Amino acid sequence: MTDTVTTARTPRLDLNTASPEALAALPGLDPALAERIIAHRPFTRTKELLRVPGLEPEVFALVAPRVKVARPRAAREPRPRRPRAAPAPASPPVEVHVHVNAPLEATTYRTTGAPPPPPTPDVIDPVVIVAPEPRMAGRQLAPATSRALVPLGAQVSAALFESYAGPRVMFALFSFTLLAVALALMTGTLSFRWSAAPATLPAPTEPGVPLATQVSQAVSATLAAQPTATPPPTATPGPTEAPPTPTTAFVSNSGLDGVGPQIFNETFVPPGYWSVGETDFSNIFFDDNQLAVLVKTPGAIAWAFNGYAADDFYYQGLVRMGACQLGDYAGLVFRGQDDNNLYLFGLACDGRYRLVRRAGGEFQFLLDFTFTPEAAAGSNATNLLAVRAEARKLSLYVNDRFVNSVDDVAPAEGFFGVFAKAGVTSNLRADFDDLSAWSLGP
Amino acid sequence: MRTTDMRKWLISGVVLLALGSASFVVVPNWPERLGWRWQQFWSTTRRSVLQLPDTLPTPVTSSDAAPTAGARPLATPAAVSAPTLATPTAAQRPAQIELTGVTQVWQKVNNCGPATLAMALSYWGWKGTQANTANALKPNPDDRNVSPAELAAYAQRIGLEAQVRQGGTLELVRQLVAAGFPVILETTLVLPDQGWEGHYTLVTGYSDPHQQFTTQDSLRGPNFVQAYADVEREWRAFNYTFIVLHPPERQAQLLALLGDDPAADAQRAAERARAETQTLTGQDLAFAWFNLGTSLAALGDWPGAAQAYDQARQAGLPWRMLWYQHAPLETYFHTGRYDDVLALAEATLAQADGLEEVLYWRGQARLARGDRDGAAADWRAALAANRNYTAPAQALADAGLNP
Repeated sequence: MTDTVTTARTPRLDLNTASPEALAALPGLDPALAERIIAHRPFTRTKELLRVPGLEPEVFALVAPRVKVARPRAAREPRPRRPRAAPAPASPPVEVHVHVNAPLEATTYRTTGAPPPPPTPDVIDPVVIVAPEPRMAGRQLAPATSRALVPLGAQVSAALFESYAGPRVMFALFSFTLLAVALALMTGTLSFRWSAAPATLPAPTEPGVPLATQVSQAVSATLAAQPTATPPPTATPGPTEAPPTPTTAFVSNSGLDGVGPQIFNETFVPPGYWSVGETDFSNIFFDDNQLAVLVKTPGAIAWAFNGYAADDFYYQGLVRMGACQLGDYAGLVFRGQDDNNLYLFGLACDGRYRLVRRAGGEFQFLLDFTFTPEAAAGSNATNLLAVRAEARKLSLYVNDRFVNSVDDVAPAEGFFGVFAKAGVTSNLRADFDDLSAWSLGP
Repeated sequence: MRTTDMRKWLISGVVLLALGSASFVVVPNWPERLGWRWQQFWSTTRRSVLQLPDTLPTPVTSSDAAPTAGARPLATPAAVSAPTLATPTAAQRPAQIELTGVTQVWQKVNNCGPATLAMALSYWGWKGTQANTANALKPNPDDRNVSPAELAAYAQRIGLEAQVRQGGTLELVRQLVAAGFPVILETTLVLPDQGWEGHYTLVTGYSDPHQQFTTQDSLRGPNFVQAYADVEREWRAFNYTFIVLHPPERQAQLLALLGDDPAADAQRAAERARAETQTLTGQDLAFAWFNLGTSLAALGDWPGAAQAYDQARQAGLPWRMLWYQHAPLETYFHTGRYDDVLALAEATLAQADGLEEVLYWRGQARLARGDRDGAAADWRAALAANRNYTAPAQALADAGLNP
């Protein structure tokens, strides 16, 4: 690819950094619309322009080819810009003071390059780092109590084709292929002798009877009725009554009692949909069959949602914080309607739990740090946290033991997720595994 | 490059891409398999770099060791007649049966115990997952072994009852399944290139016509069928240990099948093991001797057990044997053969860290040898490996040491 070719393309404006004048100069836009676009920053994809009031699809069609959303580069100085791609003047590093609603501390961050966001007191985005997919913001929840949202294929294709990234896509496909072949070889699915190495251990088969046939025969077999294809039993056929059915009435003394159908069981083998990704302040990624939430900056909080939502449920998951100190905590997110309206149930490094409600972007502490002997404290401790949400009542469990309950003021259907909040620790990491939810009620 | 060559490369690329992509979809549980392979790779590397043996050390000859047991005939156990159970015969049960209602749980690395327990509990209507069982059973996720007693204790904690027995038979398993009780077997997994390992599996069905069991396996998948003979062979290494969960109200029905006399179980198991030592060879023979030792230890015959374990070690025990069964350490300790405790413990700990029971018994042997600091270090390491394990905490307290 030569410079001649690249310069022939129209330079695109970065939606997050372009000046109002540059935006207003685009076809279909005027100064008022440009201001509204700026008020909707930050953008993570160009399609989000459609959320800007007054920006019609026809205008979007005109604007989309001329704008872009640059990927955030964590902890890096901005690259020297090519002349064609620098509509906004580079600005010197700016200190942004963001006041988070008390008692979360006011925090100072140094940003580079981009001008600071509008200093409204309610702005919490630079501190509250959420997944870089604000897909749920403003999305209307469907009336169903639970379901998977946003098919993975749709997300992948959207990510691939929304912007021009041909070489990157090719590279990713190539890497994927290499990885997949290596994986297939290592797991024994693929071998250089193509017929060898079954995916599972060889089952002891009878000569001449395929395994699948045996399984189906075994599963469908009843007490006395033999499949016509099977040879008659050598043993004397026994009684013909059905096998005893298991008794289901026992009390397990945990929040699991009386739960209904399972909504999801996430063991990350392989991972389902989670809003993963990296920002300047956090990185949420899959690692070692777990979901890792890395909070880079002290004072910051990060969360990730999956694609399931429910109103009444029992939700649990294993939480393991790495090296941690007083003030760090991590746990479950539930009833998350969007990034400004959700609940957090976390366990601190010292084994105390906290229940936080975020309503309209403001944090309210429904239960502040409270000690429980059920928790395993300290770095690298694993705990099983659970919430039972039944209409207004929120019951909390640590390691399968009830610890407390509160009345929720405004129960609502919402998404499930996980979070980590760093108090004073840099690069606080929390790993989450085996997350499950069951619906309550009929 | 010629066009035909290019086409060949292109076709190869497309085929590889398709196969690679398909492998992500069709290989169930692939990250787990990969993680497991990775762990095995490091284990193998460590073993080959350190030149670690494939079998546990043979008996130590030391001042306090018993006379070489290999050539000596074993003493006949005191109890001679084992009571027999009035269990129904094969003619009184169905020829084949399948119990349904178990939810498949795919295990995480070294998690067959919690995963199999979760499957067994699901049959009785429990709603939890591997997270609940693993959280309680393995506070340290790297713990490689969960004992049958720990599985039973968890079931009891949530309101069920559990029977842990040794010396089971294939016919007894079939009887239990026919009566509506799935059976957890403590058994063996031998994977190509990886060698012998312990495993749990859940038996939910059998078929006499096909001479096979149906198992729900946390690694091999749901409705995994296995021939009777293979189940018996894999089960032998654990003295035919099995666990049956049941609601309290069905205890009488279960005990009618199982009996309620652990000493009689051990006696029967000892006699069976003794018989097997006359017929088996190779590693199976080692397991038969080992089982005899375990059953005699359960009967309190420490000298007899030590002799049987000596025979097992001379026949060649796999190097992971003491990850799961610790009666040899206890036996040698009770017979004053501390060097054998230390030799076995060190051979085992050289190949894997964090085996709390092995650390505990090495601590006991070290204390007996006068190494108080070494004992304290072992007990603290055992506590760090499993905070729910009370024996090392008690040992520290008894020795007047801080945890």
